Amino acid sequence: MVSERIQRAVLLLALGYGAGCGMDGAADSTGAGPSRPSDQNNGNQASAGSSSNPGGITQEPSEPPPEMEVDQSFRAPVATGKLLWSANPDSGRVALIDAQSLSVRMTNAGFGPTYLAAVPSKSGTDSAIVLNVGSHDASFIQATATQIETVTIATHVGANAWSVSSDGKYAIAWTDAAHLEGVPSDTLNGYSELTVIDLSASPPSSTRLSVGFRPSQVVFDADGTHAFAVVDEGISVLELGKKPRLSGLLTVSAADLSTHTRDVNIAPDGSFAVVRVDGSPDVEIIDLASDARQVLTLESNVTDLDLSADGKSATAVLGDATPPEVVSFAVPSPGVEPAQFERAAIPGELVRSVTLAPSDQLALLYANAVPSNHVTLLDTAPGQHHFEFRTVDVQGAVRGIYVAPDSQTAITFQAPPAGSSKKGLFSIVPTTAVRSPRIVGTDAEPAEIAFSDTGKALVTVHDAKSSARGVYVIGLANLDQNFVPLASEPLSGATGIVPLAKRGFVAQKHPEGRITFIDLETGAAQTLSGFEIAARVVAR
Amino acid sequence: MRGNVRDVYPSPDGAYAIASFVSPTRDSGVKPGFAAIPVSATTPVRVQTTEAPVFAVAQSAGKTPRAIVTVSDGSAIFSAYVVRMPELVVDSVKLPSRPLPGATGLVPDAGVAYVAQAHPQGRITFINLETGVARTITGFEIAAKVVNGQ
Repeated sequence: MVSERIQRAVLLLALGYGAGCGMDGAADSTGAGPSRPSDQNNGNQASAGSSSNPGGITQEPSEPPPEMEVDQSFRAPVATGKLLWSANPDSGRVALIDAQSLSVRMTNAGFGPTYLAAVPSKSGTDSAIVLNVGSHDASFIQATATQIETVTIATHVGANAWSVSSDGKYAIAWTDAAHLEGVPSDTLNGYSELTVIDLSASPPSSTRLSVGFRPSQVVFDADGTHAFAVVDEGISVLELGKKPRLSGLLTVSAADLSTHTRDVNIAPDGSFAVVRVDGSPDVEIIDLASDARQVLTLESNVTDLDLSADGKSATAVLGDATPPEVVSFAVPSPGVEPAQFERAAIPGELVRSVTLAPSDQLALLYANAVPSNHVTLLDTAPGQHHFEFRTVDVQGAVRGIYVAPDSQTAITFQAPPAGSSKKGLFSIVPTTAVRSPRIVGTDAEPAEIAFSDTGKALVTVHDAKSSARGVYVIGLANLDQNFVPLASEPLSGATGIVPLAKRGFVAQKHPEGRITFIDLETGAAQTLSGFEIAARVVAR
Repeated sequence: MRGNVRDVYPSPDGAYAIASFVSPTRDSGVKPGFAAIPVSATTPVRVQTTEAPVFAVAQSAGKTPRAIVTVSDGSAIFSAYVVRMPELVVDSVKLPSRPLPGATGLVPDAGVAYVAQAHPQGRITFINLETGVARTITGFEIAAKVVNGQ
């Protein structure tokens, strides 16, 4: 499932949407218990402020800006098995670090290896591919316990992102205009090319294709026979195989993307896409094989739209409705008219975005383009409490919500409220247990998050203007947290987990490479510095 | 199309077209460019920015159609862009001197494009249509000198 979003909200926030995120509410409204959506005055917003302060805001703009979504970074280490791969654009080398023993192996890549992606591979082999931005090629690196093999593959100029098929057969290098570095790009520059690499060929082969103006997402279908590039014009369909080719363009919405946000969600199996455009009540479902379309017109503008993890249902937020509503329907065939879709009204709350839990049994509703302290937890699991909800006050304007793999806990990144001396704020929110959230004020803004599948999470905080930086090691079951200071500034997108080693990592800015590893069981940290020349391990 | 169209150059078989854009004003901050248009397919247009306005266009048809687009500001910036169809991928080559009018073309059987340029002793740049690699021959009027990659 993918989603694209043009981010225009920061300026609007600066223009006056930032008022009022008081600390005066109770930490949790869960005492009211689950509530039914039909209950218009049901106490679920007991701590959501009075009617004069819906959703914890004090000023509601007449036309709220689009909601914001969080991007991923490819300029970061990646983990495969017990290995952590780290590229150094300056030295032209890639380090393979055993996250358990902290032993380091180095291999040469091309000129300026920068953007790394893990490649699924057979047992006993770890594989990754890195874009060499200086030599306009990629190094496909395969490592066994004793050997490292590297193959160089030509790419187009300017690639900065990867999409890799789940079977590891194909990697697509593309240019994400939203993450270009350096000078602002010309409005005419479409960054249209991508490079399809067949990693199963011997040697790996590459095919350059022009897919449309400014690709924002590239995804594969379930059986790896097609890839889809979401571009300004719509969705370009790529046929893979021995000679990859562009087989068609499915147009999507005639909206002006310079003024309208567009969400394109492609089903995990690549069979259909669900699309909404900001300021429109329409949801379009497009069959990607036949280009058959259906348009569902809902009662109000759709401010967010997400597909469930299994791709069987879609959840739309009607954030402009009064009260806001959440609508859920089966996809690609809803089976009933929009008026009969399952829905919940969320009175007294500011709800414009939705994050669906991996379990597909919970929807987290919030707003982040307009300050709001509240997160509404909507039970979407079948059963007695289906579509009941409760609202949690997290005491600071929500910027983003991240749900743990088991869906039992969410972590929210927030802005600290006015009057707080803290620079940042995050909350650990139990989603199924009715418990108060753990609210943690920080000395720097929360920037990165990673969840393990063993009930742990890492939250990295840093402030580029000061030495305040570190990582919080969080136990999700007990809502406990421990702070580990970092020796240098953490890199963007470089906080992660090496599952087989049961360790987390935070890569940091350092001329010779620096990574702090954290034992997820004990919380003990070890920092590996200078692994480019002679590794030195420091235990904290 | 993203830009305002100045001229359209259809390919010999009409399957593709190159559209050059109206040159932006100096202080507009916008680059000139062209678009490669698949006329007989419903695939996206390729928009390419250039460092100078489009000067000449030549195209071939057949199984592996190609186009070459030269750009020139008339004084210092000269480049050639090879467009490979149907992929619509573009490779660019900087030209060492000013392209001559009517002297940009393709030799499909040889797999090259050529751009003749202003030079007292003659200069032609040949560009491989598959790899985009350029070779420039200078001074062939008196004694040819071959330089790779220029």
